[in-house]
Amino acid sequence: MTPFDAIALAAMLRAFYPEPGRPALERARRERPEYFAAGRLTGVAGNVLQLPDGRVFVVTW
Amino acid sequence: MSSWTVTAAGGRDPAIPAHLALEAGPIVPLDPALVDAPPAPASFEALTGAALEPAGALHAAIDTGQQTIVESSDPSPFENAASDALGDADTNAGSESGALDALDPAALVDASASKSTQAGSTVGNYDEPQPPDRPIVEPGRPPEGSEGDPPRI
Repeated sequence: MTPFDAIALAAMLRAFYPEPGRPALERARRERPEYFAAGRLTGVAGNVLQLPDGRVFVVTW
Repeated sequence: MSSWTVTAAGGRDPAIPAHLALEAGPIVPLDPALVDAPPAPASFEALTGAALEPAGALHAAIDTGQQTIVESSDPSPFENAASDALGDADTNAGSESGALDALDPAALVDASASKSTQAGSTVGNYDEPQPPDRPIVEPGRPPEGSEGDPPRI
């Protein structure tokens, strides 16, 4: 599994999903799961990425 | 342009490699219980009220000064005084200068010229007979016994 890289994830989202938002984030999770390192999107707004190793990242737009 | 950002919710910044992460330094947050509470901020009005109180008297003085300036700015008293003192000096000076300008020196020049002509007509060679010379007074013979005295003329 590809190690999680926050910068790479942000660059991919900016490059392929120019309109930020929750639907785009969920679509990116489906289309390009390798950038999310098997993490799970949680949170009220669905923008909290919880990795299997316990680290938590917040995706904002 | 999209503005996606991915930030760590807690713990180490994922953008910084683990071997480059900063070590814990000697500075740690202070225990709030050990730090005295800061003094209550003084009211601005309390700090400046006493200093501004003497300024109230200055306001009255400034108002009086401004009123004096406004009253003194009216030029009419000076104009009235000037007109009373000078009267119609300007008009009189203008009329006198006009009268001087109206004088025609031509008549005076002509009169002078005629006088010079008359004076010239009386100029002539001196032809009167020469008066005789003054007689020479003979001193005469001095009286006897007075040879030392000067002659009496």
